[in-house]
Amino acid sequence: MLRIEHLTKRFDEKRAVDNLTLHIAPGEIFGFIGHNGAGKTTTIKAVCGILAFDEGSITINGLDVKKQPLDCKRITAYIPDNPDLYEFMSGIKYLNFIADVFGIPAKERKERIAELAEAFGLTADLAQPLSAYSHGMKQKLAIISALMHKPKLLVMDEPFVGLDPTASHTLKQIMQEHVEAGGAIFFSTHVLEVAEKLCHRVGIIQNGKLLVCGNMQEVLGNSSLEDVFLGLVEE
Amino acid sequence: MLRKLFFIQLKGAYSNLLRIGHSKKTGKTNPLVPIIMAALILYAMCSMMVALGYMYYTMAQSFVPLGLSWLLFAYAGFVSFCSSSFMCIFMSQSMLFEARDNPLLLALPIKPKTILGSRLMVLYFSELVTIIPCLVPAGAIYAWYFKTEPLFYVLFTLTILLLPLLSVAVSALIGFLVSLLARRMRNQNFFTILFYFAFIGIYFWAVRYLNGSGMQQLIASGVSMATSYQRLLPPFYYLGQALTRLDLLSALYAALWILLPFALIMLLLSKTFISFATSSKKTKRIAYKEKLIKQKGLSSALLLKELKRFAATPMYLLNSGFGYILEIGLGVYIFFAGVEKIIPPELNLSSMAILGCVAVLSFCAGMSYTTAPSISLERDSLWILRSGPIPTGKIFDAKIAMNLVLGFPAIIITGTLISLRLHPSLQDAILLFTLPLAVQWFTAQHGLLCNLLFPKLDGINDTIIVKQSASVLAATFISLGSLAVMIFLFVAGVLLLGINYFITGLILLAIILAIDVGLLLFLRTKGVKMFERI
Repeated sequence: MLRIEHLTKRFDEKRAVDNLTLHIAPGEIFGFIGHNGAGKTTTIKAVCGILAFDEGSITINGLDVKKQPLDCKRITAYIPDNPDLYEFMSGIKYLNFIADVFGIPAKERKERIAELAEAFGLTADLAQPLSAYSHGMKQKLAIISALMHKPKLLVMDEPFVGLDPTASHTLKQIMQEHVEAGGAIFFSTHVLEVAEKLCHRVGIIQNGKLLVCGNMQEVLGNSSLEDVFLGLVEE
Repeated sequence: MLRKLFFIQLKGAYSNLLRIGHSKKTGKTNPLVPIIMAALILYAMCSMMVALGYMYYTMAQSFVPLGLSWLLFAYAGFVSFCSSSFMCIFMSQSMLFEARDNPLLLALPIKPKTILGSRLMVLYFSELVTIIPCLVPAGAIYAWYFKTEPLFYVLFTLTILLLPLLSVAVSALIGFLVSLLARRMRNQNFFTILFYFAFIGIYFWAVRYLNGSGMQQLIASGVSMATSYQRLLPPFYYLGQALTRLDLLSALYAALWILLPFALIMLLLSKTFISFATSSKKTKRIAYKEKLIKQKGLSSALLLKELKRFAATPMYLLNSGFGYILEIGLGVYIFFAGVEKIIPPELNLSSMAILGCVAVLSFCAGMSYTTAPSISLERDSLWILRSGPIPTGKIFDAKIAMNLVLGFPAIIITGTLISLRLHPSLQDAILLFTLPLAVQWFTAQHGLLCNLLFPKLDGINDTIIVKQSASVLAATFISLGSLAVMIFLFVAGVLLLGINYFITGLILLAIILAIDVGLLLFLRTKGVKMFERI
């Protein structure tokens, strides 16, 4: 589903991502873990076509992110860590805007919005302006807008930040359903317990380099993800 | 701490201007760019000062023989106060009551009065920078006209330093009232826009009432004007008396008239600042009802988004859309009042009325630069456009289309109203409609290019982006400069080369359209790459 080959991104002299290679197959949830400034968001943004990169290649379902950016974006959904949305719109108007961007027919979007808004408990707030939303509400709306067009690849940057326990549980369920239906998920998180329970595979990045990447069971062995992470970082 | 906060806030407010020419990619600053920008700003300021100086000189010649030399400073003070208050009124609301860093600063061990004080100091600095070019020419003319004593210079310097306090007080009070009332309204943005329209209307009416409709009327009605100032504008009356008679008692009265309102308003602000900064805007809850949804195409969705942002952002609408309002105002005025009050019949220039309207409409079109801040206004939500399957060309089209969707009808309506009143010939009518439309397209495109060259995605609020960003300044200069070039070329063609004015107009139209097409091609190719590098 997602193939990142020798990805390198430089900001002036510093390599934010350095020769990073990882693959995610359909049906996998891949957890991307690293300290602040390790290169997680840079990698994620490069995958989503938001940030140009200097070397390497990224393909999503066989489509090259540089050569076929629009095709890649049609089958991808991105949820940022800080969901800055259009505050001059109401929730429902924002969702309709995103649905128009992805060309979702009216009947289908109505059903999807109703279903997802109900799942996240946001139905009653859809008419409110986004300026009145809390961070958690905006996060929920960003998740709903990302899932509306049924993407093949879900790319999320710390998606659980700001979500209440019910919404977190709902998101985990949706993630499971998504991969069971053949999709893939690539997400970064600082909440290692969630990554440990949810992810099939994990990658740990530090200073732009991938220190470890593999099946969760193989990476963990008899330790917890926290111990593995701290051990690698200290080395 | 107050000093530190002041410099941080000042830097934040003017950061785009300070970093102009700086390339994020290379990390280096091109020294030519800030030099050119500084030169342009200086040129604009000097031009304004020279124009005002000439006006004050003409006034001095009329007022001095009447024994009304004080009226020169009263008028100059009032004009300076009005200009600075008007320029900073939007800034005061967003800076004092809607600053995004209020929660952060209030959580730190910094006294709220220090936070408020630092913001007021930034406002004061902004007002001072606006007042100086308005007031200094009056002082220079007076000093040149009369042999003045050293005390005059002391009092004049104090005037320059004190007058901004009155502007700060008035703009802060208006900002406070708007914020206070808007919080209680369901449609806050609509209320804010309505309020500022009303304020602008009252502002222009008051200026016209006190100063007359033109230079000649201003000078002719000197005595009645003096009475109005004495009765209605005591701070400026006493300022005038203090500076011309070097009367310290008048100076004291003037200072009291400035400092007392300032102190009262500062007291009000200090009592209400925390509650404003920490309270959430209470809006009436809107119940969600499932409605029939219509699918729109990508282009329509993007255009609608741009229009929604424009209508929902008062500062954006009032600043970048001011040209549209002027156009319609011009059309309505000429339709009802004709051009006799603008062009006195004795000048025998009524045949030039249509050409004058073309120039004014083109000026208004040039001042409708909605595209110049449009990329910057995306700010942290730019990821939505970047991550969606949206071709960059479509993003540009939507931003330009928004400008034209508003601008073209405004020009057509205004042109129609002018035509109904002045009955132009076919040739005149062609120029009346086509030239401003071509200029509108040019404005939309060059504004977008300016924003691609000088994006400001880290603006602390929309007001800073719309009023002070480098892209907006650059777009303004380009609009004014190109209008000057247009007029020069037209005059050169008709008067120097003897070409028929209609043919000259058509040549000018062809040039503008050629530039427009060039810009279109540039935006589609290099412009796309520039956007993707932001």
